[in-house]
Amino acid sequence: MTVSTQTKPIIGIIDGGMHYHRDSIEREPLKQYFDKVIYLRDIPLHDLTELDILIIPCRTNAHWLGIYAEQFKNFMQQGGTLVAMGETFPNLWLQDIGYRAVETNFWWWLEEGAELGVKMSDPKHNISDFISQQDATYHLHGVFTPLAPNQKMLIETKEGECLMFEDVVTYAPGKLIATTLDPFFHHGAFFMPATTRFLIGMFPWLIASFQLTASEAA
Amino acid sequence: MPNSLLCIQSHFGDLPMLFKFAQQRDDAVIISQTELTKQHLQDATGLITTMHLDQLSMMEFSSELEAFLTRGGRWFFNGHLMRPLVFNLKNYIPIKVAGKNDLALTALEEHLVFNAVDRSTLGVRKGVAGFYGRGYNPMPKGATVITGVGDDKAPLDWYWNCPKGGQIFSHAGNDLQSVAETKATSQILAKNIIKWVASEEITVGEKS
Repeated sequence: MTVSTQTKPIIGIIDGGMHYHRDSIEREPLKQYFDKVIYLRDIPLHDLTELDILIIPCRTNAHWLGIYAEQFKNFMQQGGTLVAMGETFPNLWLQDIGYRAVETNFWWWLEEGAELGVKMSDPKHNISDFISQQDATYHLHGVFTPLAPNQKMLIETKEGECLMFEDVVTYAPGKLIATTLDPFFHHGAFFMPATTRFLIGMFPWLIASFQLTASEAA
Repeated sequence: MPNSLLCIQSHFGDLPMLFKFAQQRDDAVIISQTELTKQHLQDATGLITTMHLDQLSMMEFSSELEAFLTRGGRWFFNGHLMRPLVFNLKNYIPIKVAGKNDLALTALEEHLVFNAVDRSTLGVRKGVAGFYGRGYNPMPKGATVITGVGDDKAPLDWYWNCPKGGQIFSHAGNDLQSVAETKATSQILAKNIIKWVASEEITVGEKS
């Protein structure tokens, strides 16, 4: 992969054809971030290494992701950052990812004083400059467990189980970021403001991280 | 299978309760959208799609969908329409939500899908509004609004007798059978949807 000379990395996103993907991709505040939109079933027709960052939005059908897994691995091994969002089940199409579904409590916040208990794992990590604990707090679908040694936890449950990790080693020089949170689904359904805030923070974080890595390599 | 009730599962995972009910019927064909062929649509007389529908893939079947309707087929469509799947239908429009009243539902017309359902209970779950829907798929000419949302009573649910035959029920929100407060109501909605799509009579007041 040729490292982009642009200030902004080249960001691609997979479109699974679901309405909440299109609602997320084609409308602001997120539309501005996407340099390339690739329809899910057309992935084999594209050279992913032209991208710096590739987003697989929430609930993209894992049936197809499994078929294209080698292309994703090659993308990362060429230096790309792959971001697998909630309910895309990377545990089924990449190695060494543990996963356990949890029962979703949509209503925890109705109880007075209740806390979901989501935590940013490392306040010193630069993700905390862009995404707050409140932005990541709405509900849970699953946790990555057990974590492999290369998977650095970024967001976790109150029990310390992983909701989001990054792995900068396994596919070096590329990176894998995976989360069980599903903000695209709810943002694209015009529901749950925290999910929109999460995504509004996530893209500047991805860009800043890319620029940091590029400057360190220079 | 000829004269089938076609249920298209678009998400990765378990069957929704609606399709589990349909599965009990001899005429039901429940398939993953990854395996959908033109033949499935050519054989169908009823169709149920979910909010997870891959609309880009479905565009490749527009001709078959229109032919299915013209033959008299019934289609229950859940979700936001974001591609003109048939007859140049227009994209979903979200409503502006400034307060709870903007999400209030108004039952404007009876429909068999809501038989034995207290529709006044569908607007909120645990006191929270918005699960049912937050916008509308614009109605084609000649359609009838069933449920309005907000002060303007925007057409969240509508029903259309297509000009050349066939019928579409559009529900522009989360899958209809999933939005009710109680499991019992969800099950009634699911059974009603299946009966309507299968063109079966529903006796008014019947508890499914």
